[in-house]
Amino acid sequence: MKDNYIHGMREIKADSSLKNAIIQHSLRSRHAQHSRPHPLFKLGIAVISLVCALTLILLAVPDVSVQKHVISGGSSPFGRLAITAYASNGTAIDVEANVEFPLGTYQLVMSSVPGFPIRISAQGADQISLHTSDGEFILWSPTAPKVIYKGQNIQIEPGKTLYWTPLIGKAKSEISEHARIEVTTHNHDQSIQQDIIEIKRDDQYRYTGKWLNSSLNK
Amino acid sequence: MKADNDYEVYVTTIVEKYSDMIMRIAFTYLKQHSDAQDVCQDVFVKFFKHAKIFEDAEHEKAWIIRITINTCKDILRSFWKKRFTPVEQVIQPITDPQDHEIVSMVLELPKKYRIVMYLY
Repeated sequence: MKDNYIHGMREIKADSSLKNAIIQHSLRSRHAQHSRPHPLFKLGIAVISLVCALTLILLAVPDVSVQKHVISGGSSPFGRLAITAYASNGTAIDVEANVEFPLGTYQLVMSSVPGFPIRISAQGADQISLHTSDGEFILWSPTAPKVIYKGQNIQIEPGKTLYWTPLIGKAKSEISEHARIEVTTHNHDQSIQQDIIEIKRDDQYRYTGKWLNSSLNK
Repeated sequence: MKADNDYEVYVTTIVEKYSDMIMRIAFTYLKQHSDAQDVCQDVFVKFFKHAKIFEDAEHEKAWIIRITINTCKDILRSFWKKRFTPVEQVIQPITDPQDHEIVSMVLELPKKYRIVMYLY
C-alpha cells in the first residue's frame, strides 16, 4: 500500500509548461524590479501632482458644492458621475471625474468579499447599466450572504454596491486577467453618460481598477 | 549579462527542484489539480520576491513547505472555497488503478493526517 501511494503521488507533478511560465514570470519580475525608479522620486512626483491637482480644482471650480459622492456643476444637467470604490480594508474612496484613482486591490484569496467591490452613484440618474468584457458581476450583501451571479450585464440603482469577479466558466475554474467595464447612466430610459472602468491583474495576482471618463464635459 | 544568466540558472534550478513537491503538497491539501498549480505559482512568486538567505538546503526546503501549506490554508479560507464546491469529482492524474485507489483513500482522510502521510 505504501508503494502504491508513493507511485501514485509521483505522478502528480508540475508539467513543463507550468515550470516555464513560473521561470519566465520570475525573470520578468526581477527585470521589472531593477527598472523601477527610486521610491523617493515616485513620492516627489506624487506630491507635486497632488499639489497641482488641488490648485487647479480650487482655481477652476470655486462654487462647486460637493455632495456625498457627487460633484455638481458639470456640463451634464444630471451632475457628474462619481464612483465610490472600496479598498481592501473596507475604506470608501470617493472618486472625482477625470482623475485616475486607486480602487484598492482585490485578490481571490480574500475571504471577506466575493469580488472586486464597486459602488456607483449619479445624481439625477435612475438606473445604471454595466457590461463587462470578462469576468462576471455579482450581487451580495454581508447581512444576507447569498451570492447572486448576474453574468456580464447588470442594471442597478445608483448607490448600490456590486462586485466583479474574475472567475468565469461553468465551473468557475478559469480566471480573467483583465476586464473592460462599460458604465452607462440612464434617466427615464435615456442614456446620459458612458464611462469605462478597466480592471487589471498585476504580477502579484492583485486586481486594481482605473476609471476612464469618456463622455464628461462633451 | 553574466549576472542575468546566473540568475536564470538559479531560478530554473529552484523551480526544477521544488515544483513537484509543491504540487504534491498542494494537491494533498486542496484535492484539485488546478488549485495546486495556482499554489505552485504563488509559492515561487513569494520565494523569489523575499529572497531569503537559508542556512542550508534543509532550511530552504522547510521554508518552502511552510509557505506552501500556508498558501493552501489561505485558499481554503477564501470566500469562494467556503461557499462554493466544485461539481466535478477530484481529478487525479494517476494512471495505475491501484495507485489511484490508494491515493484516493488517503485524500479522504482529514487534512492534518493527509499532509503527515505525504511528508513522511
